[in-house]
Amino acid sequence: MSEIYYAPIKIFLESENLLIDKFSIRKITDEERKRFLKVTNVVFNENGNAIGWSIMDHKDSTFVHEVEHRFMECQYIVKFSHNNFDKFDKLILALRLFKEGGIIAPVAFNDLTNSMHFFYPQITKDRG
Amino acid sequence: MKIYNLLLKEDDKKFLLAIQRFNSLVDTHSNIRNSFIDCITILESLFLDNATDELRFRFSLIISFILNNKLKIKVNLNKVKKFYDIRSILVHSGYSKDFKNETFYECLHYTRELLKWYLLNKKNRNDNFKKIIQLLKINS
Repeated sequence: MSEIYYAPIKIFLESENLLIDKFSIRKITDEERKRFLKVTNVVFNENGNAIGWSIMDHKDSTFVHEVEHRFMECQYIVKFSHNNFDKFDKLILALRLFKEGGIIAPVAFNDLTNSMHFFYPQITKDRG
Repeated sequence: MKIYNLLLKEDDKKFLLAIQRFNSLVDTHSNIRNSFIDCITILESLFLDNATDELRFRFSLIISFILNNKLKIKVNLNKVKKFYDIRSILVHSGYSKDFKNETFYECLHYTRELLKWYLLNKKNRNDNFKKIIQLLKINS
């Protein structure tokens, strides 16, 4: 069984879906937001920016303590297979070059092993 | 996406080092002055060859030339000189009264556009300063 990775990403796209090489970028679902970000509810303003969220009880998880709140604003998710893992940083670099406005995609979650893989830089704000 | 495909194939060590530096400077954990210094360092490494004299002039001329003529981004030559001066003052004294956050964000915008131009124009990379200026004049 091929390992699949899911990387929540903060990015502004004109469309709901985007396919680049073997990377599928699409809107994050409520279920994925809950599962990966431990966020149960997000409130957006009229510009689509997250202005509030509810975080699950995370006694058993230190993850939410380690990330800055802006990560919670991720409205898209990148799905890719293990074969393309090494290309992920190039994808993010390309997006950072292509689009202004702070691309955030610090973590990929492995669907099979439930492990997390961190990328550098882990957290960025709107510096881009 | 063309940029992504070019990045995958890229083997120019100078560019790869520059793009890693770019990836780091967008990290907000970095000091904004250091990120500004990194922007200028990226441009210097990409667009100045091994020249040792007239660095400020060469830097300003070639950067403003590419921005204005190839990228159609209107930038005054003196503004680029100012960027270079602020970088030098920051490096040597740690503080510049002329440095503002806006200075960095403007420079970051130019750096991103120039990185893309460099990536998309591989055949022009290894030309020396005079050749590039000559080429840009012919094509503009």
